[in-house]
Amino acid sequence: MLPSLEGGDVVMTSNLVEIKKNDIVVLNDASYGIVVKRITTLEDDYFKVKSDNLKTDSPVCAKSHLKKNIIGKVISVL
Amino acid sequence: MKIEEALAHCDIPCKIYDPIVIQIAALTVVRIIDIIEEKKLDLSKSEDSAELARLTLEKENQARIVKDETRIIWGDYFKDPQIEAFPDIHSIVHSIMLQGSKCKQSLSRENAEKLVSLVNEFSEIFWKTKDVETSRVTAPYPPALEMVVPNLS
Repeated sequence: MLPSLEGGDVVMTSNLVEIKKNDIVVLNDASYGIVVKRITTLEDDYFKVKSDNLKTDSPVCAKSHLKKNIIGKVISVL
Repeated sequence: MKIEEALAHCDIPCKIYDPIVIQIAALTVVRIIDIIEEKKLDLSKSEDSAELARLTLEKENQARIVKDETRIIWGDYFKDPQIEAFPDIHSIVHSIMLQGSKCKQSLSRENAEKLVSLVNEFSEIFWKTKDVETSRVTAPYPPALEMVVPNLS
């Protein structure tokens, strides 16, 4: 997630705020565990994400995720 | 307080994408067509028939490599940012698919040269996405056609 986040960064999340496109969220993916990514598209029940670091690849970005799997929106990088 | 670890899960893909594999395969298709032409095979001789079968099989194989490897770079490497920057990539890839099939179906050098040309276009776009400049040079081996190489320092 460079340059927004670096390895070892500590982030604070909230599940009490509205989630919008372009928000960075922490989600729980069934295959890859807890993941932090940026939302690119947001539907009623589904969303897709991307990496900020465009030089990397991730299968997490290639599929849709259920909105219920969002743990929270990143509201602060400590 | 326990802090959960969240991974960006940036894959550890090999990241080794290079259209050179496609370029060599496309050039090989041309080369095989040239060899078939040069050999003047006599199909009344079983040895020549076997030779033609072998060359045709390899031409098919190299055209397949062109199609497979192009699809891999297009499907795995190209993402929204690259596609937005180079929206023609879809039509170029599709043209490579069609041209690759034409090369499998025929012994037309013109078809094979067109395949090389499309692959060169694809290679130039690929390197542009990486901000790497390219040059068009003559391949230092038969069929000595133009190919795209990255200007690496």
